[in-house]
Amino acid sequence: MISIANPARFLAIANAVLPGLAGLTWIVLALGLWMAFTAPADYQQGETVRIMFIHVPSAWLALFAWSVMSIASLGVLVWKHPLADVAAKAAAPLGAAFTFLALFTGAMWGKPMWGTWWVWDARLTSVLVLFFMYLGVMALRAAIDEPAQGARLVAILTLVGFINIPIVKFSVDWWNTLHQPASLTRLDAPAIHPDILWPLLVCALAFTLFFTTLHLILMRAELRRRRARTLRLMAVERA
Amino acid sequence: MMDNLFGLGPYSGYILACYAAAFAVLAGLALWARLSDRAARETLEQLEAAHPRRAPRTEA
Repeated sequence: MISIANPARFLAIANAVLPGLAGLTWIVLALGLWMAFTAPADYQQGETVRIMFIHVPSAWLALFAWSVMSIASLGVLVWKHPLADVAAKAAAPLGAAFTFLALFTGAMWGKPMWGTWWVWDARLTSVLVLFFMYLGVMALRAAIDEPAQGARLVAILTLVGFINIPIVKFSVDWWNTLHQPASLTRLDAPAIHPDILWPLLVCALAFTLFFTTLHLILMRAELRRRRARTLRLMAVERA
Repeated sequence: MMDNLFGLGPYSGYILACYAAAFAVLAGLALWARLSDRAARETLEQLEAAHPRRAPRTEA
């Protein structure tokens, strides 16, 4: 795994994998969209259950992206691996976008079902904090000119911020929230009928493939930018 | 006015707003990533053309 993770080999693998991965992503996204609109209406929530097929995968990806950044941050601080900071940087805007989508679709679902766009309960508030944390790490990185120093500071902030991930996940168990408890990731069987569960799982797979594809593209772009920066510095040194 | 669009019931406006937002965010991300990658590739190609690597020394 470590041997794959050198920039040159990563670029070769990314170039080989990306066309097929992108094609698969669009196919699964189209399948997910079709399943989302052909699934039966929920007996309690009616047609609004279709919001779940976007809201839940977005929320999962919001947590997943920060987890990816946290693992990459360990790579920055412990192993000082050249690809680790590239991976962390590429994941941040994707995580921010999925967190925004989770918040927006949650508000859109909350209004007809709860009668309100927003409440300051533990789940919603901790996800809003997660969104600001994404903006914070991107702002911190943009504010520091020296890339290595920026990478270290962002890695520390990311690892400190990881404490919010279990808070988001278990907030519905630890506190009384208007947001419902987990329906899928339970110790017993999922509390969702298969007719709704399958479209949800396909949409989650589609969003995960989408994240993976864009993460690879953004990592490739970042590696190219870093190579260009090195060439510019070498040209300045020679001049 | 926004009731029961496409047979999605009385809250169809909320449902369609979610899917429109998801489309906008995903399409925007995909477009931004592609443009960013292409710009980085073109910049790198220009720099590599301007500063070619030395050819490896060959045995005589």
